[in-house]
Amino acid sequence: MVGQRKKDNITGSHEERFLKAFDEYGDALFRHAFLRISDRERAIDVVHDTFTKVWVYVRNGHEIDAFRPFLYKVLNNLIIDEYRKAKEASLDALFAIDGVDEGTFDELSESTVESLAATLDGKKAFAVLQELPDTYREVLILKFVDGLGPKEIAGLTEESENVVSVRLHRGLRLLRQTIEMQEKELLDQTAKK
Amino acid sequence: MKRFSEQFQKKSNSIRLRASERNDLRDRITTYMEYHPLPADMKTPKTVSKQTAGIISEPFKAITLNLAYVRNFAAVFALFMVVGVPLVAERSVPGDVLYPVKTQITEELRSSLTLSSYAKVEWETERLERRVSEARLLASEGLLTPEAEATVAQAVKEHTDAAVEGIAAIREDNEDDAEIAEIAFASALAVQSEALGEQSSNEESGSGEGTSVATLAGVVHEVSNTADASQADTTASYEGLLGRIEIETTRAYELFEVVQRQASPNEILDIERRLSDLERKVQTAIAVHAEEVTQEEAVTVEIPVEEVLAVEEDVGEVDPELVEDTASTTDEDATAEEDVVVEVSEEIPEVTEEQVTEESTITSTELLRTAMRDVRKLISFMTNIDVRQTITIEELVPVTFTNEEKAEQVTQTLVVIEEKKAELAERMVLEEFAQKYTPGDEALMQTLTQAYTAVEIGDYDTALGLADEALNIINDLWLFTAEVTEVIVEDVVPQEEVPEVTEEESASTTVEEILE
Repeated sequence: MVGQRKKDNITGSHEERFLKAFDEYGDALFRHAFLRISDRERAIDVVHDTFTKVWVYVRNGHEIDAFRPFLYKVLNNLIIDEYRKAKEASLDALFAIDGVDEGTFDELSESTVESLAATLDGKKAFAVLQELPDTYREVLILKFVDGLGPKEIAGLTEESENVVSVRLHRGLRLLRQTIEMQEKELLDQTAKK
Repeated sequence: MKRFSEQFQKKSNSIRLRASERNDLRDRITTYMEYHPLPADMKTPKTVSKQTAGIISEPFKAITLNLAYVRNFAAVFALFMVVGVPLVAERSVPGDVLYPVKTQITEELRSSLTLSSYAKVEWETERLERRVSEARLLASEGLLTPEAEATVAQAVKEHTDAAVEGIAAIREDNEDDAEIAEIAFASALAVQSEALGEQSSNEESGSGEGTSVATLAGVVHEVSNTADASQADTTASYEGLLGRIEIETTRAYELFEVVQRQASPNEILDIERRLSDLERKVQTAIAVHAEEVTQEEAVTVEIPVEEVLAVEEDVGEVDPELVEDTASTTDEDATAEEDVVVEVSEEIPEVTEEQVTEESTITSTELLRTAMRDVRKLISFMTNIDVRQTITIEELVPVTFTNEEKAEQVTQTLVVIEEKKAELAERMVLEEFAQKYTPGDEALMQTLTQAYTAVEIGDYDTALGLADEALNIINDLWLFTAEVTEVIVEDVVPQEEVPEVTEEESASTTVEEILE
């Protein structure tokens, strides 16, 4: 009997496995979507769409070995679709933000990302996360909120690991710049007063 | 870095679905799943990829079975076949589907499991009893067809053969055991034969509702006679018989305890009586045997008087056992023992020692054999409920009266005779009457005298026979005189003369017959 139950845990019916994935990753996916879209209702909808899409995929006879990366992939695609719908015009403009250049190779290492992150205040950084363009926000959230490794992030965003590292680095730098800018503004305002 | 990630994580963890949102979302997803269910071939996991991979061919459609389920089912089924079927089959009768299971499998298995030859013979006897009781059951339901009866008759013959064979096998090792087994087998057959005979005679008289068991009764009777004849000339040893009787008696007592719960008070009393009779027979046999041992020793050692005393001591030793077993009949037993001893010791001076030894050997084994037959019959009677329904215990094992009881019976009969005689004497006043009465009276007086003598010497069996005879005579006389009296009364008021003469004639012939 014990052996049988064990087997059920591994295989189970498609429905059981699917709903189990929802219970496990539903919250994380919502958090990710909310941080990216900044709209509760729409984030929920995106998560819903993610699961229905995956369900259709299962119905078509595909076998899913690991739900987490697959769900993130679908969610990510859906979020990008959301952006396209909402800010079609502004997407390109995102890349043209001042002070964001393509960078140099010395930035492209994990250690520099970590040393840079160490100089940041987590709370403040989180608060200004929404100010960042989605390209950077995406990798930052995947790394620091969802806890994915550079390889997984690369897989999800369909970029190379190098690009991911660069984006992380720049994202953090942008965060610092934004925090510094806000602090400066705050100081100016108090000074004027 | 660590601080940043921690803070960042902590912040982000505050973002989560509210319970209501979460439930709502889950509902939406499950509803979607319900409206877009999986195709039928995907209902079972893991099979999907395999089936799509291979070519599905119609003639070899695979049916998946849960092996654990199949295994459990097989186990239950096997258990049913091994335990359930034979249990149910035990209650089957000829003509049932399961009947062959009972006779060919269960009983054969039991037969092959019995190791000792004696047990084998016993088992064959029981099988025979089973067959007969099945036939009787069918007959009482009116379902016994000639074919079924023939089958049972055949089975009876087979079991008899098997039993006889078994006895022959025992004989090779132990003559005594074989003879004891023979006695036991013959007793069982006698019981069955008796019961069947009773039933078939009931049917003939029209009281039986069921079909006839006459053929079967004939077969069993025949077999029983053969068995009886073969056991009649056996000369089993005293020790062997005694040992076996001990075993059988114990069994009878055990059975009696079981039967007690369902039998009527009368039946219980009857069986109790038979059991105490048995005890007495055995004790008598033991006493007689002790006596014969004494005699043998007396021949060599030549001190008979002391040995006789020793016998009396032996009897005294035996008595306490009796007290334990049958409290109610202890007194009778004691007297019985004493009587026997007295009888035997009285006989000694009359015959030569050699003769006594021989005579008493026969008596002790003879007694034990009767006891053996009785105990077997009792066991058969108690084990077969259908036998109990057909015949009474009295028919199977008649009561053995103790000497005291016999004496009492004789006395009672004699008292009755004396009373009648006195009454008759009163009628003697009539002359005509006395004329007819005198020859009958002479015969009566003769028998009575003999009876009294028999009582005096303690020969109660003879006394009882004589007393019965005397009672018959006096009853006839009584009838006859009653007729004469009537005639005389009729004479007083004179009517037709013709019937008077005929009546007198017939009456006188009666007396003549009696005298003959």
